[in-house]
Amino acid sequence: MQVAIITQAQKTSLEGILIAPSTYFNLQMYDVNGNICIDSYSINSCNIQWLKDLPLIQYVPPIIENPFI
Amino acid sequence: MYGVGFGYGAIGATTKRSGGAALNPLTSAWVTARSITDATAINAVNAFETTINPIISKFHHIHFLFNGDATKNNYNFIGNSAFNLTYFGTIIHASTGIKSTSNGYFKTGYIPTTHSTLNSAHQSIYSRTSMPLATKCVFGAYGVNGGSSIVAPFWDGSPRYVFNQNGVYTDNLLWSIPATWSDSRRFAIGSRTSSTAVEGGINNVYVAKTSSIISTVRPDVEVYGLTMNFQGSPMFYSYNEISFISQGIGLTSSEISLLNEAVDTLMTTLGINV
Repeated sequence: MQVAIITQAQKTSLEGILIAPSTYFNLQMYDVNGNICIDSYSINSCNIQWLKDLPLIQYVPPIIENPFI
Repeated sequence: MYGVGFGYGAIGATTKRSGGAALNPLTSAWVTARSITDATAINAVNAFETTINPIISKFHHIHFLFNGDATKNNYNFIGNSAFNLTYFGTIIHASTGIKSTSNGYFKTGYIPTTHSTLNSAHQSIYSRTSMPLATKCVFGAYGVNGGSSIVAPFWDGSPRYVFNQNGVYTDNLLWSIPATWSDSRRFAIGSRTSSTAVEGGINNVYVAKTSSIISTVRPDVEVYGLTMNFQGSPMFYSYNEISFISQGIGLTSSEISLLNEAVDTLMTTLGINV
């Protein structure tokens, strides 16, 4: 999956924006380094130019240790 | 059972077939609210409503996720719009179900501490794909308060189900299905009918029940789909394709069987059973 990394301020600016009916950006996706990520499909679904201009990188998910032990 | 191919239209407050037979009330409301025109789907859902009518009051929300459309899929068949779904990220809405391959998920609006009771609750799902043998969750919540309400999560290759209990790991299992059982498709449910009675099934098979696990706490966060709401954040995304979900008060063994049969028939009639 390809993603773009955004800042906290950019994340705030995307809150509440519809990208499809009843569908918003997933603003709670983080990579292995704790960066906020937006998936490329969502980027393609919107008409926000600054978002489309961001470089895409391969998503590296965070390593989740078993939180239930 | 009505045949496929009838016409539909709103007549007064009740949607009727062109032949004059009225639809069941919830089906009628669904058809009107979401402008449903697929005769096969309408017939199938109407028959579903007929089947589950004896237990209809036990549902807080039911979602049909095979409409191929975000707005049609988000509708709560029971009618309370507070439980209409909201999607986040990229969701694929197909005529067979919904899924995401890029960490999309949905919120149900359903918070167990607010909307359910400790000793009477159920949660069900129809998945067209087996659960991956990895750390994934298809439908669930784990609260800040430590309460769990989870159907079909896997941890380290072992599917685990818990309901209104504290934590989700070994000593809190509702049951654990052997990891060698790789086919975890179709209907799955967890249900609690008292502080000590929890039961359910997966893959159209009634699996187990126990009286040794006592309810302790309900999750205080909203239940998510295609992932788990882990204390306020989506975690353990699943790429499963799911076609149906429900939540409500506890169902007994016979009621579980009734719902299982109704969902299975619904999927078969639609031609999307697996």
